[in-house]
Amino acid sequence: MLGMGNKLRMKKKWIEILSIFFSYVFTFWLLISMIFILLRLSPGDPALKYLSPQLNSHLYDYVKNSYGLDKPVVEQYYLFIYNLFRGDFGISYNYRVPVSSMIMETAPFTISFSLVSFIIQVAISMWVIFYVHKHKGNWLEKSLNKISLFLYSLPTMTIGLVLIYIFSIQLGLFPLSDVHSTNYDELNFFQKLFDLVKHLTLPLITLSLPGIIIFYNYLHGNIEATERKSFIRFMIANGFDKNIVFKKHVIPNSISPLISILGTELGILLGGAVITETLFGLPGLGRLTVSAILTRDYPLIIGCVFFSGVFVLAANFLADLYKLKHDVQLRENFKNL
Amino acid sequence: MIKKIQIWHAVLILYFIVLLLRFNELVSTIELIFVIFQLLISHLDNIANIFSTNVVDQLSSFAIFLGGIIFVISFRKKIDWLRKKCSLTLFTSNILMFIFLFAPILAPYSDNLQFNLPTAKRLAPLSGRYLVKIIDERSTESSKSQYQKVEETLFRENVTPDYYLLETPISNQSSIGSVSTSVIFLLGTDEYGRDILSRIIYATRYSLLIGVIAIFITGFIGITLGFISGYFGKYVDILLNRIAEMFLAVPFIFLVILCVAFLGDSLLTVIIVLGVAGWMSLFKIVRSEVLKLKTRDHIVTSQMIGMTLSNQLVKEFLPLLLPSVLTNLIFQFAYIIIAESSLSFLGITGNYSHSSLGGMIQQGFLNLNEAWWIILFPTLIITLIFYTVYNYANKLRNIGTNQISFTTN
Repeated sequence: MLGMGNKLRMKKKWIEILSIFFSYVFTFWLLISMIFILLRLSPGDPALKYLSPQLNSHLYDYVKNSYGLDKPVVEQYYLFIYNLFRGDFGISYNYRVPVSSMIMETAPFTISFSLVSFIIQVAISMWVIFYVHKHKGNWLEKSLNKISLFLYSLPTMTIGLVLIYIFSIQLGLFPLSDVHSTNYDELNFFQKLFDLVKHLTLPLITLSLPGIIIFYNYLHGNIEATERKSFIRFMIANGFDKNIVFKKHVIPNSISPLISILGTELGILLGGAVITETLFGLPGLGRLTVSAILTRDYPLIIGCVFFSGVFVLAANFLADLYKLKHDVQLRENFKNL
Repeated sequence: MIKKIQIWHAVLILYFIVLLLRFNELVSTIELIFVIFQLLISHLDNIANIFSTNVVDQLSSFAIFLGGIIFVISFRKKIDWLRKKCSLTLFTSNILMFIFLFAPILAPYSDNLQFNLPTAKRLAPLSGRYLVKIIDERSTESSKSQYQKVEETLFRENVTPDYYLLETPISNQSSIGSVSTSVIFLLGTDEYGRDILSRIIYATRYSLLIGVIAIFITGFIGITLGFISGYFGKYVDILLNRIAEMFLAVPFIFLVILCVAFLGDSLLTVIIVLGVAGWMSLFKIVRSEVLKLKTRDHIVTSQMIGMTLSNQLVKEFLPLLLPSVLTNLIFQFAYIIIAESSLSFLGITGNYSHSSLGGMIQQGFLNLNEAWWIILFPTLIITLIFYTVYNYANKLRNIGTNQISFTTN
């Protein structure tokens, strides 16, 4: 009897996973279609968006053939999807190399940059929350409640500019731009690390500060809501240690909604990375996109937008899967109780 | 003491400040009206030439200015809203409102007015100079009509060759035939010798205008699609949800970049793109609310008596949706203004003829070593706008949630 139930549950779970997967595939197809429709809607010859007189004749013919630019629209659409799936985004006008290789060059930096920023955001906001919870009503909580809105209303570029003005130009503590010094290759490991940290401190602060405040406000509200729930009150009334209750029951219960906003958060991070990378001159995907649009490098723009979309979609998909698993676990735990 | 300041006090204080600082401008506006009346009587066939956009702008903001004073003074006891306690947010929103409505009166010069470069380049805030007008003997002053004179003092579209900015006044005025007046650049000038105060005032106005129009587009798309999705359900719902998911997947800036790349970067395109790019959250809110409301009695009744769909939306659903929709739209407004200035900061948009906050910041960033004031004031204004709008939306949300919890209990 129990085995039958387990099997049924497993089957249901697989169906749920499959339905999520297919809905994401559908979204993915919509994304490609939107890019294609925009390409066709734009004034001027759409075929010329992939071809440029700057390309030499060999590359010109290659792009023309692979995208079927002299063929009917339906066939072009099919080829467009086929090429995007293969990872062939065309040839960049300016760099005269395949767009995919340009993205592969810059994406790792942006991804690791965003990831480090994300970790910093979570770590600092968690630390602040622990601290605030331990010393309730102290100066930090009061001042945070007051200035968090003001800090949040600082746009990314403002934070970056203020930091650059104070620390780079006036005090000269940090370098103005780029990810490492010119003599980077001659340094030993620790010097390299120090160099990287020196160059990336200001960008990381710029990218992380809004996120820290968002996380803090979000978690703070969640924790307060969880603490008001009856099972927490029940535990404290029964004489459980307050710290243990906080660590083992309040935090896990209030952190799980955080996973669901992971994808959105990643989108915000990528958007913020565009401004941060441009401000600090970092060689990432954001700066590549900005330089692409400033020179109207259409294949590169399509590639970058497509990549960022796929990246966020993948993160959303993982978050959905995690939620599914997490909820099932919660249900199981409740049954065991 | 400070806590007792009501809104109408704050508005009158602002009016008083404007009157004090821009008295000359107001007087010459009255003069302009007088001259225009004269011209209307004498040359009625020339009416299209008289009412240029500048003149209409000036006159309408002057009319709102006078109307505002009369309204506030006469209705201060009758309207509750005017007697509310004036918090910081309300005060800053009053300032923004003033800039938005009275930009032509507040700004000393036109936003693209360039003074002669050697003296006017990168002047520090509060620096005074002398504006000298050399009267040429050949083209005598008397040949200009009174209308032209008033227009010249009011708008100062572009410095005519006989205006010069000097550091010291010309000592023997009578011999050359010149008139010098002292001018003060409150916030300094930028690299091209343009007054930053005027540029900021016009740029604020434009970015608020862009935000308002974009918000209307967002609201229209979000409410309509959300209503359709929640009301009909089934395949339409799934399809629209997936489309919203797709728009959410592409980060805002990337989406705008994609659209701007293919559809051009004119002002209208940017406004539409900014409006379209933010409809998803409103769509989700409206959809879930409509799903909840759909089974209520009065809605079902309105369906049964044969109300059309648009009538149902406007008369039955919208009044109930209004608090959440409004809150979301005001949040969106803040984000759109930030996005617009970020985009023009990156140089993606902002190639239009007027000044923009992001463009000023970009220009200041290039001159960060020499002139801090070019970048400081636009940044402050952006922060002020975002702070005000965000605070407002937060308050509205709290009121909304309180109401909802009140009705459910």
